[in-house]
Amino acid sequence: MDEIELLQRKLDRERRARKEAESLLEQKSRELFQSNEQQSLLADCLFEQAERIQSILDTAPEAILTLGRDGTIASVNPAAERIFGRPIAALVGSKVSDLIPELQAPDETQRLQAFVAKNHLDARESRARHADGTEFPIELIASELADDYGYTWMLRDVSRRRALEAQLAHALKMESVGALAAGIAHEINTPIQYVGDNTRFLDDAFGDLDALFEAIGKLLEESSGGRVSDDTLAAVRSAADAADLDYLRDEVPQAIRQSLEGTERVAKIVRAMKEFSHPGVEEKTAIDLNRAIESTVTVSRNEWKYVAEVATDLDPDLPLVRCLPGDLNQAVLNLVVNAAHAIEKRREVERNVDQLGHIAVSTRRVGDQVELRVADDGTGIPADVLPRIFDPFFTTKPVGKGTGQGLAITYSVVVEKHGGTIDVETESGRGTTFILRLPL
Amino acid sequence: MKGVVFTEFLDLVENRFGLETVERVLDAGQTATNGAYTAVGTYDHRELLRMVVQLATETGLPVSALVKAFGGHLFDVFRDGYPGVLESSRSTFEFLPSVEQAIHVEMRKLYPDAELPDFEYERSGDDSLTVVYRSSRPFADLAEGLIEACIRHYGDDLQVAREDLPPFDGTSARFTLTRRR
Ligand SMILES: Nc1ncnc2c1ncn2[C@@H]1O[C@H](COP(=O)(O)OP(=O)(O)OP(=O)(O)O)[C@@H](O)[C@H]1O
Ligand SMILES: [Mg+2]
Repeated sequence: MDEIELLQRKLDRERRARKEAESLLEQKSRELFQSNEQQSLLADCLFEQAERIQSILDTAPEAILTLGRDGTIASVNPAAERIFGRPIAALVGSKVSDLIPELQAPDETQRLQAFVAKNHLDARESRARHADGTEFPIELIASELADDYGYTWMLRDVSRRRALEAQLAHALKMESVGALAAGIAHEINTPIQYVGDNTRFLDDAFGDLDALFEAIGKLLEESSGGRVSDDTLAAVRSAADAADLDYLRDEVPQAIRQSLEGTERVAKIVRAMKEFSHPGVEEKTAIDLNRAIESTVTVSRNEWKYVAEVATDLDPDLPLVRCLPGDLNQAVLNLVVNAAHAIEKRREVERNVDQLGHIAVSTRRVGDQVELRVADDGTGIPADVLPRIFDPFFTTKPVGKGTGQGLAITYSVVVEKHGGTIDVETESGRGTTFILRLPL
Repeated sequence: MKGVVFTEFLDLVENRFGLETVERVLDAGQTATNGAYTAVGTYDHRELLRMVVQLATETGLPVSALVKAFGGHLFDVFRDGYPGVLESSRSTFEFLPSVEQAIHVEMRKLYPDAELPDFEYERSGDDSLTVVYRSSRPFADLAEGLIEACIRHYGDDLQVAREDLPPFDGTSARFTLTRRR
């Protein structure tokens, strides 16, 4: 091979090498472009995400705070500013115990830790302090941040809701009094009616006796003169006949007794109504539970009397029970009304209207609890219904008969407000017993 | 294997033995690109091995001596191409342990898929350094040439003892560098 040829071959190699280098360069450039493209897409995406998260934080109605382990506030969102009435700059860096009085204690860090929700749904209730010095109820969910950094809090002001709840509870109480009112009016109407009838009878009877009294007056006058004329005696006799004295002597005492009974009934109902609704008692008071139950049975008489008999077996040695009397009566009333409905349903289903059903209400003391049972021999509760009976608005009754709030209210009164328990024993076709236990 | 090794090898052959030898070496190499290598490409290292064996036949020199000499040449190329890297160290003992960090990390930025040999270092006292070379390719001789060139560059007075390690095929070796008294 001569030199020229060798050089030519070398040149050829170099040229091809250059081409390959160029194509490698292009490939690298393309890769670089693509990876740039991906990165800027990623950056856009991250930016968008950051913006979205920011706007969630900015517009969230809940205050969202991050706290260090020692309770120093690291960040807050605008809602916190509004809820606490303090500017963000004043909140950040301050101690969260300045906002939540419950945390102002030597064991603050332990308390903070205890605030962390067991699961993310368990909201905790507490009270918070506004910049203007007022306190308001809050609900908060605390969770632990990763890396031991501290906590996130989601917190909302529930004062409006609390106010609404109180209003609603009041409205419900009024509503049940309203629903009972018709029945109570009926209950009062019957005795009033026969008190009226009897009084009218006595009025008539007295009219009849008037002529007799007059004749007797004349007789007495004459007899003081020493002699009585036959005419006068005849007048007395005929007036006595006209008045039908034997009849009156039988009927008048009975009319008076009935009227007294009637007024007593009315008085009892009025007393029971007063005891039942306990107007104005908003705090726990020690009451005679047995008496409260009697009142409840009395005011609800119209709800059960056509379908059942109510028997009470109340422990006379029961101590006074500290409770919210109006609420507790409401809770028992709901059970009694449900019992009556269950019995009514059973009578319908079994087409048996001759025999009344039975509702038994009993109390007794068990250790440091009072036990209150409401038993019925109604339909019983089917197994598929049982788990839901305490759910608000769950009902198996037709529209107009039930709204499904009865047991939800009973549950909230017994369990939430009194720290008690509710058990249910039921057998389809045989009946149901609700067992309430209240701490003494 | 990175293309720069191939281009530098052919440059060396051309300068020392002429273009005619280059032609024969390339023929023996059965190269995929017909000898058109570029420094930024990546090629099969067996092509280089075949070319070195051919060069040994041409020159009558042992393969290991050729590869070692080529290692020395490569060192000079790097020294001229990336002077800063060597300037940041003052001696062989300082420079060698930094190869993994300073050079291989940089290499990966340029060639993410480069398969680089693995170096382990052990310093026993002021006067001795052990370097263990492990690679998927049998180029312990090349490593030896590079190490010796490095010692020359810093003007250190070091003695190099080489011990081949299993599987004794040139993919693993321990170099012990000891300061001469
Ligand atoms: N004693 C009972 N026997 C049989 N079923 C009952 C009894 N008590 C409750 N239930 C069932 O539980 C459901 C829920 O009762 P709850 O008192 O909460 O609502 P309601 O009676 O349907 O409506 P409301 O009480 O608001 O008028 C009832 O619809 C009924 O199916
Ligand atoms: Mg009900």
